[in-house]
Amino acid sequence: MTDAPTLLCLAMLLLPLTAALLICVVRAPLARDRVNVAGAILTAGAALTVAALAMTGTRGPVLGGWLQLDAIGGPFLAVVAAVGLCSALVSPAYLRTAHESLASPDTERAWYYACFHLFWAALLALPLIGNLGVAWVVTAATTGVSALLVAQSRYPKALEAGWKYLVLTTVGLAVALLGIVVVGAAAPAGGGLAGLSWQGLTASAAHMPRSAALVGFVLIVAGLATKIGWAPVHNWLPDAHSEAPPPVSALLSAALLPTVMLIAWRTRIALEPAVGARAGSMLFIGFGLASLAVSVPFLWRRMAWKRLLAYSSLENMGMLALGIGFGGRLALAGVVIHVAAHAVSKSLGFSAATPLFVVRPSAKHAPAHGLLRANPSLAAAMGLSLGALSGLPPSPLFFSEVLIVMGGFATGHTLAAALAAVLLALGFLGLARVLVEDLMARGPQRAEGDGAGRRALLALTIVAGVLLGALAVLAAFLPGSGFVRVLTAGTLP
Amino acid sequence: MNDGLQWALVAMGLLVVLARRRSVAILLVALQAVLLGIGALTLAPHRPPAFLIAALVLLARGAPLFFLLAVSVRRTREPRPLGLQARPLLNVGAAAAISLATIALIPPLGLETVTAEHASVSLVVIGIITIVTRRETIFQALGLVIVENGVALAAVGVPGGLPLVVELGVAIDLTVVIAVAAILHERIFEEFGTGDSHVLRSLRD
Repeated sequence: MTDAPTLLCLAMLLLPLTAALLICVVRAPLARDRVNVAGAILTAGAALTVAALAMTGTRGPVLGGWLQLDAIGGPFLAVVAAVGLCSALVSPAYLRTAHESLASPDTERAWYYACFHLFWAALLALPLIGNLGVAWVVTAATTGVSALLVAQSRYPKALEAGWKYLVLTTVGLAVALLGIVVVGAAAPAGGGLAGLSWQGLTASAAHMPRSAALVGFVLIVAGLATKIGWAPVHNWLPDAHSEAPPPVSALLSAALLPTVMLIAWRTRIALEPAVGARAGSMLFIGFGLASLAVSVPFLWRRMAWKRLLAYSSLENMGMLALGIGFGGRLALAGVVIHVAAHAVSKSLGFSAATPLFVVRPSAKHAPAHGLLRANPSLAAAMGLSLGALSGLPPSPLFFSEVLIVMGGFATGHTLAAALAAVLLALGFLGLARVLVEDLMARGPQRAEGDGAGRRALLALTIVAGVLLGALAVLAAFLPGSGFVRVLTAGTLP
Repeated sequence: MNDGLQWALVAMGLLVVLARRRSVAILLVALQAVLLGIGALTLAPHRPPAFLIAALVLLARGAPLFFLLAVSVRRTREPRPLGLQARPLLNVGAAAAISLATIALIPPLGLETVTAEHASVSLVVIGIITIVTRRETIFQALGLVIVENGVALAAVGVPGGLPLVVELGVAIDLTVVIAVAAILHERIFEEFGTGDSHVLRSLRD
């Protein structure tokens, strides 16, 4: 391993921490905004370079083995970097509209940005962490700062959402930690910290008693499921996503959930020699189908924009669980495309929420009716996000869902794949109904929006459209690529 | 670790389910954390050197938790007692029964002793029941600490224990979570005039 990846990883982790510190030191609100933007651009640059290195073949331990560059971590890191950058760039606009905060008016901006950059730093580390125990510690570390961010607005509903999120995810993570203890006890030689590394676990899994390893595996995945937001342990998700500041909702939905899911996926791969391929597969498929089934009725309801996006997250996390459960080249290619396309669509959708709440404050807790006539540029952003999330062709999410369902049939999970196809069709119809009956419906006459904000949103919509188009094209080539061959062989080449 | 000590930890968890006063419950949980640390220290001579540091971390983490929660309670005096539990003994009985059922249903975990397995699973269950049955947000935060104490007891019951880095990380994470819980509890109190979690029921579909 050359020095460049080490330096880049170090920069990727230290830059957001430095930005958080600097933001607390400077006093002027504008200076805090500028440090946030500069820090975010530099951080994303370093992280995207590391992700590119990981995806193009630079693999191995970094920073003394604390991090591990591999094929599977690359796309997740790129997603966290891109979503974080987008959220950081739209945060000043959100803060201009925020009226109340958990902190005093003088320190409100500093608190928000400091928590935001600390949260982002933890999320950037997660895809590359080479050890289950350390991954648990970093996952748990995201809880405190993100709970403060969820409750940032200090509205009663935000406090409720923050409290629920803190309590439920902490209990879930404690269950996952109990699973790690059980797996550690089942490992033949213990082995300390190295015994919990992905390689260490894979090496010792073949010698673990199946029963204990299976109990540990189920506890770990079921515990992490609360943080991923898989049904039936998803109760915090709609509340936290709908009440958090929009840039934070984007980070929660598009970066936190898939990244914690990657930890569950890596655990499955590492413990497969002990628990068997079938048990791991069934657990993920079970969570996937449950999440799809629970989300569909809510996708048919008319509800507030961010709450609708939250239930869409539940559906999409279910789809990813199915893809990992099915395994195989088609489904895993679908998972990679799905994670990236979901991130682009959700970032755009949540970014549109800030101007939406300015021009239509009632949209915080009610459907945004008739927006196409009232504010076409806002409706275009929301329409593109919703159209992509619903899986409307040529959305890359349509192709990724097809790949995952085809992967299910190809690997012999016929019933689960058929059920998933039916649930996806129902979910699509629900979201399409919202698109037609809410966004495109007759509504109030043109509302006045902020010109600069409209231009920024339009630019974001165009960038998102280009990225979604590129991902749709990529979906055609990915299943046969060498990259997916590495994924199907495991996380470590 | 001594079997009697492990069951004493479980008994303290059950007393939290029963406790009426927040200050008493905080003292019980702090005492539970300290006894857990002392129990771990008694095992240190037979374990690798890193275990001694992990046991000291376990012992020390009770102090900040106690401080954070005690200060938070002092700042949020309820104007009148919160609705007392309708059937406190029934809740304790349910906690004990569910713990026993869970112990019977869960296959062996592979810890050093059967008592360690049973006591740690019981503490996790009792912590979750505290969160579910107690209305006060402070009691729900205490439930989180009881769950973590249960997991820590299980970790002590593994021959090598958890790696020191992980043990340190768990202690720091728990302290941060309880600090955030204390902040949110105080904001909830300021907003609603009470720390009763029944006021947090507006978000439903």
